[in-house]
Amino acid sequence: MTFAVELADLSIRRSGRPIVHGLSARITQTGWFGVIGANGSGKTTLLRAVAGRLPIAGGRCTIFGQEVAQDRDARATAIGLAPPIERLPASLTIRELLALAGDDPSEQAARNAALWQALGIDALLDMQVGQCSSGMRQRAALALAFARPTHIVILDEPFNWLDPVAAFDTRAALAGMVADGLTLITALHDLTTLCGFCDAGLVMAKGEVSLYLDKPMLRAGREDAARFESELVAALR
Amino acid sequence: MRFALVRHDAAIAAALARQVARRWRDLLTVLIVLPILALFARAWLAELPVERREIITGIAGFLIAAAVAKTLMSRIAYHRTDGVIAHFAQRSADALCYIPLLLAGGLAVLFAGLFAVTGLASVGPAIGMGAGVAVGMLAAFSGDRFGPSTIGLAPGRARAFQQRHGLAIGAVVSGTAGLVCALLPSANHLDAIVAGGYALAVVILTGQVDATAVRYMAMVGNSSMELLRKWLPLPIVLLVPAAAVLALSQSWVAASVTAVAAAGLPAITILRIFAYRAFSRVLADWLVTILIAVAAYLTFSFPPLGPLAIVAAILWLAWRGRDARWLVP
Repeated sequence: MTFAVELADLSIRRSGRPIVHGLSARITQTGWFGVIGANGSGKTTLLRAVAGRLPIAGGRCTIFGQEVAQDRDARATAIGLAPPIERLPASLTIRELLALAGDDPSEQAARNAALWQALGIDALLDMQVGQCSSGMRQRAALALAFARPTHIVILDEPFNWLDPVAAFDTRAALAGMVADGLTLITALHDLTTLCGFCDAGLVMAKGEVSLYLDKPMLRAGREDAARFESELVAALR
Repeated sequence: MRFALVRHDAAIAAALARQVARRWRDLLTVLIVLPILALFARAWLAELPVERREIITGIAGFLIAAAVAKTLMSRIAYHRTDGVIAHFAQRSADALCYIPLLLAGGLAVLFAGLFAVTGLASVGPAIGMGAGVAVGMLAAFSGDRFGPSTIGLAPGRARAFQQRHGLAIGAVVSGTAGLVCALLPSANHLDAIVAGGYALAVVILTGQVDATAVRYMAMVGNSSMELLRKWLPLPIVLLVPAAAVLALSQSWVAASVTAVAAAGLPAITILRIFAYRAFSRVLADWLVTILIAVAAYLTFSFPPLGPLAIVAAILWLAWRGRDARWLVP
């Protein structure tokens, strides 16, 4: 079986400091994979490195069977990533951000119609980032992850800043894209999305995997949320 | 807390220094390359007549002091709106002492540095620095009120202009401006003055490089060439045809003025783009200012070396920032 992403004994360092070490995981094609963990557990570092936005110090990383641990450009080209909202330039409009990050915005609108509608991107296109609220920037950042057609997309805490309606609609739109063949990897803090939408996942603590989550575990979490939460918190500590 | 803003920025400077000390490439630059450059400059300057040395020192003092003053003005504006201790910046006592204190410190270091390199402690560098402070503050003040974004030429619009086949229109405008200058009487260099005014307007309107936009473009995967393609075409089409028309009509002084702008603006723009991609904005601004000062000095002393230094600096900055593509730090 060829996995969308396969990590083996992965280690990642930032400013010379080990952040992720000895991490292994297999992410199947066409599914929603959740990464959950405490603040500072290494989720963001892991996801950025897998997406080619940070170098990998050691171990193996394959994307659709191809070894790319030492090829940051190949990982970045193969995986879409939502940029952090604080790094969006205030002087540009959302339309310009989208154009600079991928295809012509009209093509993106056609390809990602459901997501754009959920995020209300059409209304934001001609707004400068500097005039946008954090929620609007988050909507733009999510659309930017899909600016190029890729089979894998990574979103780091995608529902932060979104209002309940937008979060609800966006979750549904993302689930639809997963059903259409997307492999979606998200860092999450809410157990509702993890249990309700993810097909598999892992729990990170201190730069390592402390618990792997498979489909039966997540289904059980949906049925007995209190018990699942207590087990998860134990793994997070 | 007294001098909260100054303490805050001093803490950031100390953290930056520690960061430089931790990275061997940066440490090597600070400990070896900069002292060698300073010794090199000192040796060359020592051979020049005092008057020429004074002019060069004055220009260097002017450029660096203008950059310092403009940076401090932008910094206090940042402190007032987005800074983490914005409440201190609203208090007039803190805000009022922020610029004079840091400016005095910066100018003292600059004066000592210029003295160490040139051996001059005369009135020339002091005048240059004073003028630089005034121009830097004026530039920061007018940039807020009359800058490209406030008169409708935001970076985004400039790029939209390029996308809408506006480059051809820009070339026609440039050629027409060159023709008008060529038809003006050359007595008292009126043609050169008008051409200089046109070139200055182009520099002001299209010479801005947005550091965060450069970083964003690199972050979403744009290559060096894509970065340059976004920022360079407009200033080039607005200046090169004018210079060419003036040269063809043998208006040599006006042609030279426009040609210097046509070569200098893209060169400085490339330096800034690659510097912003490789370093933080403040560090990049300082680096580019130093590089321009070194190139200007070399041009004065050994003219062919100035452009060569710019080319070398561009290549070094392009190499230094090559890993920034896709990187989300």
